[in-house]
Order: sequence, then C-alpha cells, then structure tokens
Amino acid sequence: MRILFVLFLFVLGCSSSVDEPIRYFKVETPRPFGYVNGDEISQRILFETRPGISLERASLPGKGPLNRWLNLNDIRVSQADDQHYQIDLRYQIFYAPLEVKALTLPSFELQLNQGEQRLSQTVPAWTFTLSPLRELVVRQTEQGEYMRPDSLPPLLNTRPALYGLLASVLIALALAVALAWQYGYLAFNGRRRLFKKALRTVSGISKSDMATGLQALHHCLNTLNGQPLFVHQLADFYQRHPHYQSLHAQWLWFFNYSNRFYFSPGMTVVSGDIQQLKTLCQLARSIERGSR
Amino acid sequence: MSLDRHLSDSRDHALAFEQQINLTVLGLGAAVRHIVIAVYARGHVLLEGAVGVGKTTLLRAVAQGLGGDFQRIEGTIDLMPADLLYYTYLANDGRPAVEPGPLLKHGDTLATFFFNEINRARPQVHALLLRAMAERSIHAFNRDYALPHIQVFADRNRVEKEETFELPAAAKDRFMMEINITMPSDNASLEQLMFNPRFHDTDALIAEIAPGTRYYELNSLAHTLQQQIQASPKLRDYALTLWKASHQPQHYGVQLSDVDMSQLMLAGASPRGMSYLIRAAKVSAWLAQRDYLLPEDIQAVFAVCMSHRLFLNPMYAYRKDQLLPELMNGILQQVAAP
Amino acid sequence: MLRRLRHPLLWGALALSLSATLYQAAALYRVQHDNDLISQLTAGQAVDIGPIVTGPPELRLARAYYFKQKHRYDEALSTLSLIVGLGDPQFQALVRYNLGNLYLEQAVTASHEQHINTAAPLAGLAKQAYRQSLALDSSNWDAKYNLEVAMRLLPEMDVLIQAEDSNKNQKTQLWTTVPGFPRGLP
Repeated sequence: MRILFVLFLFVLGCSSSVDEPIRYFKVETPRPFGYVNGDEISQRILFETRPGISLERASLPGKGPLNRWLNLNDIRVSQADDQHYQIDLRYQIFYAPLEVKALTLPSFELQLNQGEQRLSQTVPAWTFTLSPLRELVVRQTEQGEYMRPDSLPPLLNTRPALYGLLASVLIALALAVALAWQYGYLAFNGRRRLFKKALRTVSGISKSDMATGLQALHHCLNTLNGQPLFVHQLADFYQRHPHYQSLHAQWLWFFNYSNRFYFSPGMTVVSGDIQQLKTLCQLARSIERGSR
Repeated sequence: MSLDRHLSDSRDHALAFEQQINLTVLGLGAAVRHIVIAVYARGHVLLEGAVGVGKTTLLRAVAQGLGGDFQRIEGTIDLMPADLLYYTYLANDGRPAVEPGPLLKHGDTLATFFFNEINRARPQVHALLLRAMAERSIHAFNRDYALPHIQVFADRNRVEKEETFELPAAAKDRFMMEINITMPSDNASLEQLMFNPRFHDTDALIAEIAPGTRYYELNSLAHTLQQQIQASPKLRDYALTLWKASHQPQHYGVQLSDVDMSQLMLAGASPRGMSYLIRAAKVSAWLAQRDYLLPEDIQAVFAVCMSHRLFLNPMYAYRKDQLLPELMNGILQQVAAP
Repeated sequence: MLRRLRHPLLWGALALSLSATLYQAAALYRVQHDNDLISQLTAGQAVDIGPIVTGPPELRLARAYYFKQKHRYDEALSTLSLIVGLGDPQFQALVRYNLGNLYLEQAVTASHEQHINTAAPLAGLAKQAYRQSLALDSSNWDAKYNLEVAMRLLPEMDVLIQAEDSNKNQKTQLWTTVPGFPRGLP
C-alpha cells in the first residue's frame, strides 16, 4: 500500500517534470541598488522550452512607457535554436525620489504556444532601490534653483577631412613619383633616362657630327645592356629588355649603319639617315618611359 | 675590277671548299670555318681535342680539297730531327741507301703537314719544325729546300702527361690558331656518325671530295686579300684596345670570379699574335663578302687566335681551362667597338 | 596593350587624386572655419547668420547657446527647434538637453517670480526634453540632475501620463504640449 503510494508519487513527479513546458528558466539582473533618475536597467531572460513549444512574441510587453516612471526602451528576442530563447530588456527609470526608495519592475507573463494550447510562464517582479541626486533642502541661486549648465556646443570633427586630405596627398605624391620614374626624372634611376639624354644629343646634330649621334645611341645600348652590345647579342638583350624587341628592324638598321659608318671606307651621310636615327631615338625614348 | 673579280671567284671556291669539308666531317662547323680562315690566311694551326673526333679525317679532307701533298707524322719520344729529313735503309742490291724523309720527299708540293701528338716529340724536333714553319724552308743535304706551300697542323695530346714535352711559349706563338675540336653535340649528327656506313670508310669518304689544285695559288691570294681588305681608324682603335685589354684586363672592367685581376696575367698577346689576329679577321671579312673589317670579324677569330698566347700567373694556371675562355669572353664583352 | 595604357591611366589617376586633394583641403578649411565660428559663439561673440544657415547643425547649436547666454530665449528656442532631429543620436541628445535647459531656466525664473501658470507648462516641456535626451543617451549626468530639478519643480502624479514621444510631431509639441495636470509648485 505504502509502496503503491510512493510509486504513485514517483510517477507523478516524473510526469510533471516531463510535462513542464519550460525546462530551464533564468532571469539575469544587475545589482538591485544604487540607481538614479534617468538610469537604464537591463534585464536578460534565458529559457529553454520543450520541443513543439514556441514563444508567442505578441505577448511580450511593447516598447514605450510602462507606467508613470518606467519606460521600456528596448526589447530584443534572440533564439540560439528552436528551444533556446534569450530576451534582452532595457528599462529606463524617470523618477525623482526625495530619499532612497524601493521600486519594482513589474512582472509579466510569457505566453507559450503548443499547437492550439496556450501555456504561460511568469517573469517575476524585481525590486531595486533608487537614490536621489539632490539634497532634500535644495540650495538656491539668484535665479532660483541650482541647475547644471548647458553643454558646450561641440566642435566639428576635423579628422575625416584631415585624413582624407592626407590620403589624397599621399596618393597624388605616389602617382607623381611613379610618373617621374616612368619619365626618368629621378636622379637615382639613370637607366630610365638614357634615351632621354641621347634624344637631346641626337636632335641637335647635323650631317657632320653623325658620329656623335651614333656614339650617343651606342652608349645608351651599352649602358642598358651593362656591357657593350654587339649586333649578335641582340637576342640576349631582348631577353632582358623585352620591350625593345618591337624595334628589332630599326636596331638592325642602326647596327648595320653604324658598322658601315665607322668601318667602311667611302661612306657618306645623307640627311635621311639623321632623320631615321632621330626617329629611332624617339621610339626608344617612348619605350623607355613606358608609353609604348 | 679584275682584282675584285678574282677575289670574289676565290671566295666562291673557298665557300664551296668549306661546304665540302662540312659534308665529310659532321657537326664541326665552327672548327671548319676556323680552319678555312687559317688556310686562306696562311697560318699554322694547333689542334686540340679528344681521340677519334675526326681530326685526321678533317685534315685529310682539307688536303684533298686544296690539292698538293699531305704528309702525316706521329710524334714519339725517340723521334729525331733527322727522321723528318731522311731515312736510311738497305736497298735491294744490298747497299745502304738514303732517301728524303717525310718533310722533303714531296718537294715543294707539300701543302698539308700533320704532326700528330707534337708534345711527345723532343724539343730538337720542335726546333726543326718551327724553322720550317717560320721560314717555309729546310736545310738538308747541304742545301736549302723551299717548302713554299707548307701549312703545319699540330695536335697536342692532352690526356697523357708522361713522357711529353710541353711546347715552349715561343713555339706556341708561331701557330696562328689553336682550334678546339669537340664532338658534335646534336643527336642527329651523332647517330649519323654511328650508323651511316658512309662515315665508316675514311678513304672512301675523302675520295668523295673533288681533288683541288689551288694550293699553289694560296700564297698570292692571301697576299692580295690582305692588301684589299681595309681597316678603318675606328677598327684599329678597337683592335688596339683589345690588345691592351689582353695585357691588363682589369683596366677594362673584366672581372672573373675568385680572381685578383691585377695578378692574373703573366703575359698578354705578342705583336705577332696581333698581326695573326688581324690577318685571320681579314679573311673572315672576305668570306663574309666585305672589303672592310668589322669588329665581329675580329670577335669571330679572337678566341682561337689568342687563347694559346695568353699566359696566366702560375697561381691561376691550374684553373686555366676554366679561366681562359672566361677571360676571352670578358674582354670581348667589355671592350666597346664604336 | 596594358603598357600603352599605363601612361594615360597614371595621368588620369594623378589628376583625380589632385582634385580629391583640393576638395579635401577645401573641406578641411570649411570645417576649421565653422569651428572658428563655434568658438566665437561659445565665447559670446556675435557672428554673421549667413554661414550658419548653410552650415552644419552644430553651428545652430552654438548659435542657440549664444542666444541663451544673452537670455534671448525666443531666438534660442527657434534656433534649436530647427535642428531637433538632425545629426547622430549623441548630437540629438545634446540638442534636447540644451532645449530642456532652455525651458527649465525659464520655468525656474517664472516660479521664482511666482508666475505659476507660466512655470508649469515650461517645466513639463523641460522634463519631456530631458527624458528624450536621456532615452538617446542615458549617460548624461547633467541631464539626470536637471531632470530631477524639473521633477521637483513639477512633481508627477500617477494620473499624469506623458504624451507619447514621436519624432513626427515634435516641432509642434515644442510649442503646444501642456503636459497633464500640475499638482502644485513649491
């Protein structure tokens, strides 16, 4: 008989724990004291429902004033999965007590749905104390009551404009340096202004100082190559300076012409040769500064 | 006009001659070109190369193509100068007889003389040979024999060092070129050499070459050719710079790895060497159908004309085989022509 | 192809970045100038209205601050009412705090002079402004303190329900809201 009763109780206990719609329920609140007028209090409700049971969100309190002194600024529901809920509430108190006063956040009901069935879970009320900011007998100024002064109008933030300026100046500088490098204006990259100098020499020559012009161009090629460049080394030269390959025919002309000029007896210079040399130099220059 | 004509006809002959040799020995194009240049510049040649790469075949082909007589002699330690001039034997009638030796027996038609393994012969033999090379005449039987068309090819054995007599510097300097003959490197040629029966019978191979008779013209042709090919002042500068660079490469920016350049050179090229260089370069220009010298002509023959004339400091001599080509290359690359 | 395009591209980018530099420099100058104006107004010096009309709302806040210093409450109020609801929440909280101060100061003055009928609606408006300010930024201790001043001046009873705060009719509210039923002043 007694055993039967105990068994009954046991079954009852089991069934009640199985039937409980919420397996786990917890309200996290901050310290219950030391609040003042205008403070915000945040509250977090954590719970886990049984499968098939869901929270009825419409039952949650809406944002806005809850009573004369209490405002619900924010309410946020987040779900880790179907069963785990987290509700974050942010209350704000507007109450000016004359002395330390206990106040209570009101309790409310969480509505849960299980199919057609309605279940509910109570969020308990929470009591805390609120302190005054001012003394009971208030000091007076000439105008009347003492009050805090206006806040100073803030200055505009100059940082975005400053950073923008710095960034654009840096970018412009970098581009200018890149261009100067391309055009061979930088002192340290002598190899990028070889043909520039040669062009200056060549553009001023006449028939009588053809040697100067040829010499200038040979000097360019030799310097660029790192050692004297002969016509049979052109392929090797192109390997290292592939951009100049587009002028292959002109280079061949140049080397042949130079050979004839320097080594063959009875060579006469005509003005067309000078023009051709100038053209070649210009083409080489445009390759050098990267615009071809 | 007729002179130009003569030169260009001879050039056609020379090029045909080169082509024929190239058909006989495969894959030795560069060496053949150098030998042709030496033939037309009338310079003696020192050959170098491993055994069985075709040196003898090459020379026989040259001899066949040029005409004139070919004589070959093996250098041995007991070879004496007299052995080159005469030999004695018992004749059929039982009396001792004397006959002219290898150098003399062809008379003035001897055109190609191949001295195999010259460094096995004694210095006395070298001396005799050098006189023959330099003066193209031999004193024997109380008179001088002129050998106006002789061209000496000598082979140095590089493999064995025992019982050899290294050629003295003065002897080496009398050779115009030292030509390195290496095995052809392309597979097609190697396969041909191995399997094509044409290359197995050297005598038949040589017989394919049309026998020439031009050897007696060579001296005068060479003379004309040297007169006709012009060297401009700029080219003279260039050659001069090369010469100076062979003495003091460090002043011309030549730098070899691991070498103190100021200590490297013991002796640079001799004046005779430089004159040989220009003679060879002129032939090269002539073969390229030009009547003036270009730097590339000099570059083409620089290494073969120079490498046996440059003497390195003994402390670097053991690395000679590696350093000399690098030095030669370095000089050519560092000296600007125009 | 790309190589040939490189030069025009570089030049274009350079021109672009140079104009950006100019623009940024102008912007920086404008901001500095506006800050000068704000400093002048804060220091109690009158400035021209022109740049304030076209400038950012901070300038009007400074102008209102200037008017309030000179006790020109109506002009201060009309200036502030132009910028309620502009700018980020932090700035809005500041505007509303200064607006609350504007009301409260008048309410205090009125109650000091025993004009209770004037003081009560002003205190109500002040409370509303402070609450809005605190809702935007609950860390402003001055607003908390002054809200308490206003609440002491006009205590709230349970029947008094604050009108719903909405941004849409704020401007009219500034002028017309008479909150609830005042239950006596001290």
